[in-house]
Amino acid sequence: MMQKLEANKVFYKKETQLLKDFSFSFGGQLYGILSDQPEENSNVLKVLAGLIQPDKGKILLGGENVYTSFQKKERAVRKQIGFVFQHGGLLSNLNVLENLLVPYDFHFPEISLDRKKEKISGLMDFFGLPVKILTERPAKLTISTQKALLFVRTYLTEPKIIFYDDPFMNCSLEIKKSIFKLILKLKEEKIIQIFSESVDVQLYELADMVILLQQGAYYSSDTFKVLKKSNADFVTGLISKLLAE
Amino acid sequence: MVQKISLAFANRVRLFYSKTTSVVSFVFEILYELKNFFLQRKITRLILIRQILFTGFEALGLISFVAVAVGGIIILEGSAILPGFGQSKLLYTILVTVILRELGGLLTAFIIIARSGTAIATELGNMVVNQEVESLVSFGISPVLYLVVPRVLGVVLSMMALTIYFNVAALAGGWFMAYLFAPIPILDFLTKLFSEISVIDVISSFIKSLFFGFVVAVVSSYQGLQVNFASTEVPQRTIKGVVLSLSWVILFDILLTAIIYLV
Repeated sequence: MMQKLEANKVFYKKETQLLKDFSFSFGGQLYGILSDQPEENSNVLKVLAGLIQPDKGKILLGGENVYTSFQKKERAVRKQIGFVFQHGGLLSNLNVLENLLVPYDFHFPEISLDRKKEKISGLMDFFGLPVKILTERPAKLTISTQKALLFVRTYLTEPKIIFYDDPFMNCSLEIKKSIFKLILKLKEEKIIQIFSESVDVQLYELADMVILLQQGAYYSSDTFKVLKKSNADFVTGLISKLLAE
Repeated sequence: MVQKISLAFANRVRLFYSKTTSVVSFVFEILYELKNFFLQRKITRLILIRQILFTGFEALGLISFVAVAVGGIIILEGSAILPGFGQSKLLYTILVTVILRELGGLLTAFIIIARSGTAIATELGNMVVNQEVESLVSFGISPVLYLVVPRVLGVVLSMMALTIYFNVAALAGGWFMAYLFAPIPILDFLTKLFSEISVIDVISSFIKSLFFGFVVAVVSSYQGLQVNFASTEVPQRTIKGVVLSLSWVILFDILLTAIIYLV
């Protein structure tokens, strides 16, 4: 059965209104989020991923609220959600292998270390990362490599919903290509992927649906191709701003 | 004017209440996650081992130096003052009272605050800024379970072991100094010393080290996790952690001494 992530009248206000009565049903597709407050897109994604508690409303995954405390039931919910951070996110006092094993060991304690290492080296290979960095601390690596490792760590646990916060920021061309390839593969596998991107417009073109937010409220959603043809001032303003970047 | 003052007072009370509730719920969360720590030892064991190595093992040199010096100084001062009052035999009583009951635990706690308390607050603060704490939440791992509980356990265990070590080293330092001035066989020294040590002194030292370790680890972890987004907050929170740890350790010391020896 295909997994669904449902935002139900979500309301979240920080200094500005980030989400206002936002309702949307996400099903096995690639979604881009575009808003008139791009600097707050990280927080919008975090609310949808259950990392930040909304002021009102619920985010439901299979009927379970994704923002909950850390009980057994909720652990099963979080196992299905992956989040690729814009920057940072790797534990600085652990080496790369230990970093990759944290969520893997937590969610799959039954899998042997050898099998885990095998899967890790397969994914590292896919991103063109040398296995010798497994013993290095994140601080010793380039920002692009650190970013690629965030993807490796997320994909290892095979989540059913993946959030990408500025996935191409700080990425080398090679890593960018690998990310594209994997996102396309997951798109075919009907994995829910939700992103916000400020560097590269290509991903929006690839998205099945781009959701537009105006001051945190749902404005409209469609493919990027259709939205580009829109005459509405708000839509043309958002798209021209994105294309200019 | 009166309205302004009462409003400011009400705000202070509200702030105090919210801070107290936040700290109390943090402590309860730690106690709650303690049981999960053993279930999740595959991912938390490494943090615990590293904390014990850093707080306990790597502090041995400094603890040895301070303990031997303090033990020696007490004997030196005592040997200089007490014979003038004809109370030389009180030297052992003073050594045991000062080291075992008070200074052993207190000085060990101060050293742990300076080394590990600051390290914990800084490390956790930087982890918040670097989105490392948020990444744990995204896996479904409780930051309290993964980051705080192993540190609390590591500091408490190290504190208890180091306090015992401090007491032994300080008493040894006392014997060494006494031996330099008036050679005394170790057996005589130990016999006189043990005649002054009561079971309650040992229990008191043990209970105090347990409380001090818990207080230092909890306060430092709490302050570290209070950092929001800016790295400039990290040193501010670290300093606050040190000041609060020192204050709470001294307050607990007074309280525990009163309960154990006066009640």
